[in-house]
Amino acid sequence: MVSIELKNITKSFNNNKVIDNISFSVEKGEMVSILGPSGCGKTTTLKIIAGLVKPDSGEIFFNGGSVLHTPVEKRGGVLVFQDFLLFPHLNVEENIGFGLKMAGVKKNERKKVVAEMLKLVQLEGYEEKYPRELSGGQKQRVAFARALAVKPKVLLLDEPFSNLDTRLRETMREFTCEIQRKLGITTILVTHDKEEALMSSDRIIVLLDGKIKQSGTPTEVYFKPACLRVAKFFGHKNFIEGIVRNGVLSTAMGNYPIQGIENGDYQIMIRHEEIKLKKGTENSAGIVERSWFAGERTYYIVKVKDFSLHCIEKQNKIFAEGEKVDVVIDFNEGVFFKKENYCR
Amino acid sequence: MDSKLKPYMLLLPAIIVLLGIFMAGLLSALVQSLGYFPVVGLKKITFEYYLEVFKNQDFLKSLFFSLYISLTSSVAAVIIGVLLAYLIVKSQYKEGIETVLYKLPIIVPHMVAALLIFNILSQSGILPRIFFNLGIIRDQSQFCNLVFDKNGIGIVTTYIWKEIPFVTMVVYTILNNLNKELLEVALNLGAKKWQGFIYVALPLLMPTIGSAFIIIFAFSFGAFEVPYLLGPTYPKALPVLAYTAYTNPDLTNRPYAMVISMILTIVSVILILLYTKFFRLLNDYNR
Repeated sequence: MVSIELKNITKSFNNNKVIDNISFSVEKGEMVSILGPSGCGKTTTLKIIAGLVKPDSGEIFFNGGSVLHTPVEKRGGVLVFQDFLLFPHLNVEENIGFGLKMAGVKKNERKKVVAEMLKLVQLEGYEEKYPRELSGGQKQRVAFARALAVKPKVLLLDEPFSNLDTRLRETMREFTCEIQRKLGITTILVTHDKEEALMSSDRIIVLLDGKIKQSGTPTEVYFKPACLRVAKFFGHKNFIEGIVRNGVLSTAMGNYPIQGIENGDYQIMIRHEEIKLKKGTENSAGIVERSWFAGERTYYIVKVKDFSLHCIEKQNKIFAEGEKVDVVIDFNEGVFFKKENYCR
Repeated sequence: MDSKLKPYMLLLPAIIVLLGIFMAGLLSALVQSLGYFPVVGLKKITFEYYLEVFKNQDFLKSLFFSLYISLTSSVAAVIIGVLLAYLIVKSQYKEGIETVLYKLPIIVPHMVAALLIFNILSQSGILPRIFFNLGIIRDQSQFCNLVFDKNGIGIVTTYIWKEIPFVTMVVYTILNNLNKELLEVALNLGAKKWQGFIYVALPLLMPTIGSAFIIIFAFSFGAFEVPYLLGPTYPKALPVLAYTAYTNPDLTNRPYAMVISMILTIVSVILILLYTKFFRLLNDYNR
């Protein structure tokens, strides 16, 4: 188990800067997610940590010691790739034992470790199967077991669940988190799925255009996004312009009392779950424009003046499209972005 | 007409011509090898000719000579071809080399290749002349006999020269498309670069290498022109022996020629079966 620190890492491919001076650290036994859209440099960051890609500049430390010049095979940062990449010519047992064989571990010992790993990933009896005979979830488990078999200093997961269907993804995510906690292994998970990051991590690093935009606990990142782009990446859709003057927020929707916000121009983010809908009257300002029933909840777009607000209500409150509703917004629960925090 | 039968009926003329010619030739060779050749009064079906051929020292020497030529040239071509493919994949100039190598095996027929080797290796060839002019040998006749020799050096050299580009290109295509990330996985799991090549790249290339080996082995085992032009008078390569027996004015020798041809056919069928197995393995890896 190691702590990891990246300092001022930069990487370009064909004059295109993929990683732009990023620094972060991961504590021993911590599970950190690097969250960002495709092409933001997540996988490159993982490969740099593993030693498969050399950074143009910067330093990498494992337990405080530089590993920048340690070759990939000796570094101990083991990757589980997005498409599993099991060796097609080797069976499950040989795949899991591959790293041990390369390290010169004797066959008997290898067998023992492989059996332990198969038990851990609940695939006992699959020793003789070839990758082509396994389902997506099974392949993922074998890839995971193969990585764990070499006792990695740090486990690097490159979108490991993205090739699985929704149900299996949830199962595998829970399974992976459980094993990570059981073994206490330092883990970095790369994903573009915000829910996956929120549910699996101790900490989330949001990477956009090769730069770290925010780092914090899942609740910090979700409830207090550092800038508009992070907020938008998390799927927040309600942004209202307003001016705060002496404890009063003025917006095109009306004036609202506000506490603890200094005077200035703002973009205010209101999470869809913070907007409450009530059965309206003829004089109500809100009209249900669209609705999507999704079982335990219903999604709405409600028109208030020129604003289209995205809201969620539980299943006991169902409004019809075109129905008049009262919209209750507590702006004190909103996130206020000053212009310098837009980070476009 | 039944719509299910229609495509088969439409294909029938082509199938009759293709299979008809092939099967007629094969059956004719088979019955003649079993001693049925009524034109010269041989009407008794017997395995006698097979037994005689297998007891014949000339045949056995020819069989081993053919196996030796095919095996030596194919193994050498595969080893050099694989290394060359690896170097081309690593080379920054691969586009240029690739184009040239593609053309080489296509534009030079085996017969021309045999003549080229003859012009270089025979005692009146280019190599002895260079050696003579450099003063290494006093007379061109002192140059060791590399064509028409018992070791089949000329034949083997011709086949190696012709087959290396074929192996190179077949292996190069697969090697170039081999998932590079699998090698990254190997390194990431602690393998050194050479271990990645030995334990990952090479096994994944094996079906391709095996297929290429079988193709060139089968060709060199059954080909006639190169051993006919560059081979020794004794022992003759198997196809040359079959041809000699076939062209013998004494037609009662015909069953012997057909026995040799049938043996060549059986070896080819075995090689085709092996090739199919390798091909299936290749498909399995890509699934």
